[in-house]
Amino acid sequence: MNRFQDQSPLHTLMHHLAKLPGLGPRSAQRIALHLLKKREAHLHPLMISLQQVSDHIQTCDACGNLDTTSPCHICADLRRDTAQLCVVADVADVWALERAHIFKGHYHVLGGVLSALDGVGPDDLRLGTLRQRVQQLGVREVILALAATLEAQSTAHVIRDQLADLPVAITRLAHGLPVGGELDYMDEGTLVAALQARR
Amino acid sequence: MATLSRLTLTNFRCHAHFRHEFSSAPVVIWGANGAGKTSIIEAISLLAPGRGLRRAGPTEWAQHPPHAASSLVWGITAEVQKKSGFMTIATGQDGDDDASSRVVRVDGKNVSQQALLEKIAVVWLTPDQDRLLADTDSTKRKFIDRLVYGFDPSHATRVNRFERAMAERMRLLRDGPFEPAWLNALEDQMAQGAVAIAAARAQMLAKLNEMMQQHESDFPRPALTLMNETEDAIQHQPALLIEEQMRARYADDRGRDKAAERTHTGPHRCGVNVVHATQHRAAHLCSTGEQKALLIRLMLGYVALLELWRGDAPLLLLDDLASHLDPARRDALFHELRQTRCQFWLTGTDKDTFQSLNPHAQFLRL
Ligand SMILES: [Zn+2]
Repeated sequence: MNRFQDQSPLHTLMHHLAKLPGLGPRSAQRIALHLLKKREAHLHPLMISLQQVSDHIQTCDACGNLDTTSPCHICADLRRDTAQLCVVADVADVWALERAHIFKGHYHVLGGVLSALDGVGPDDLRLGTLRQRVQQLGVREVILALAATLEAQSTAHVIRDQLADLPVAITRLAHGLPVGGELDYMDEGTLVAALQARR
Repeated sequence: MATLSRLTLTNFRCHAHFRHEFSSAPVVIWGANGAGKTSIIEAISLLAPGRGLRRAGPTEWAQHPPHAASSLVWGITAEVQKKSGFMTIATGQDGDDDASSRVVRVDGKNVSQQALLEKIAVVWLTPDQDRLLADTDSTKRKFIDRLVYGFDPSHATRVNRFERAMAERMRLLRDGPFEPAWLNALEDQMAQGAVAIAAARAQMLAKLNEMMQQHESDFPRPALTLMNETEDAIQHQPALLIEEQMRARYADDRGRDKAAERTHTGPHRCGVNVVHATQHRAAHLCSTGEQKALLIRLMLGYVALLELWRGDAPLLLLDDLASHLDPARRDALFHELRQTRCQFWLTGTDKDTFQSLNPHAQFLRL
C-alpha cells in the first residue's frame, strides 16, 4: 500500500466499511468498488439515506427504542398496556416482537447484555431507569425477553435482583429457543409460543 | 453405519485437488512420508468440530503458493452415506473475508461446527496420542470431554459456557465492578454447569468401563476414574443439592480465587486416573507400547458404545498405527476392527504391513 492509497478518501471508506459487523477488508473493498461503479443507483441514495438517519433517528429517552421521535411511537401510544413491560437486549428484539403482533405492552431496551470480558457493565446498559419506569408506569408484570446465552441470563439475574422488592411479577420467555439463540432469529410462531408460555 | 463415499479436497495442505471414491470397506492409504497421507485423514477429522487430528488451524490447512500475497481458499467436501440417507458435508474458508475461521455446510446449508456432532461421529487415534493416558490431567480431561461429545453434542456447549462464566467471574473479581447480583448470576450458572458437566462425564465413563468389561479383546483393558469432588458427589447425591453446595463454595471462594487468579473448584480441575485393569498398574507406569495397547482397547470400547448409542458407527481414523505394533498385535487389531461396523481408515508407509487386510480393504497409494 503506498502513501497515495493510504490517504485517499476511497481507502478511508474501505477502512470504515471493514469495521462494520460481519464485514472484513475484502468485502469492504468489494462494496466500495461496487458503490463507485453504481453511483446513481446505489452510492447517492445511500448517502442521502445515511444523512437522513443521522439527522432524524434518535434513541427514545424512555425505552431506548430507535424512532424519529422521542418518546417513540410505542411509548406515545396511549392504547398500549402500561401494566406489562417487556425487557429486551436490542432494538432488533423490539422489531421481532412487533412483527409477531402479540405483545401490547411497553418495552425497555437495555442496549446490550452484561459481559465482563467485553467490558459491558451495569452502567453501560439502560438498567438504572428500569426500576424507575416500572414504578412510574405502574407495571405489574416485567417480561424478560432475553436470550439463553450466559451473558443474557446473567443480565436477567441482575434485573430480578434489582426489582426484587417491588410488587411486580417477573416472568421470562419459555426458552424452547436454542442455547445462544437470539430473539431476532426466532420465527414468529416460536416467538408467540415463547411469549404465551412464559413463566 | 456411516460410509464416506466420496472425498474432495481443494487447496488443502499439499493437495491442490484430490478426489476419490470409497466403498464401505476399510481404507488403507499408503506411500512415502510427505506424500500427504495424514492430510487426507486430517481432512476427514474436520468433519467433526474443532481443529482436527493435527490440532491445526486455517493457516496451516490452506495452501500458500510461494509468491502469492495470500493463501488460497481451501475446502473439503465429503459425501456420506448413512442408514437414514445421504448427505454432503463441506467445510472450509468462506469466500474471501475471514481466513481465520472455517465454515461448515450440510447439504448446502450453513450450520455451526457443533451441529456436525449430530450428523456424524468421527474418532481418531494418532501417534501423538501414544502416551495420552499418562499425560497431564488437562490433556486427559479434554480427551474425555471429546468422548462425551460423541453422545451428547450439547456437552461441548456446556463446557464452553462454564469456561466463559468462569472467565467472566474472574474478570469481575479482578477488575470490578463489584456487583454482587452479577457475581451471583455467574456463580449460579457455574454451579449448574459444573454439575451437568460432571454428570455427563461420569455417565459416559461408567458406560465405557462397562462396555470394555463386556467385550473380549486381545488388548489390555484400562479402568478410568474421574478424580474430582463434583464428579464423585454426583454418583450418590441429588444434583440440586450439589448445585447448592457449589454455589455456596463459589461465593465463599471469591477472595481466595481472586488472590490466586484462578478458580479453585469446578470441572476444569477434574483429574482422570487410568489403571491397567488386570495388572492394577497406573498407566503412567506402563511402557509406551502397553499404554498404546490400553488406548486401542479404550478406542475399541468407545466405538462399540457409539454404535450402540447413536445407531450408526463412527468413521474411524488411525494414523500410522499399525507400523509400531508387532505383527501378532497388528493382525489382532485388524481382526477386531473388522468386527466393528466402522469404515476405518489406516495410513502407513509400507503396504506389506496391511497384508492381512488385503482381500477386504481398498488400497490407495499416494
Ligand atoms: Zn420509547
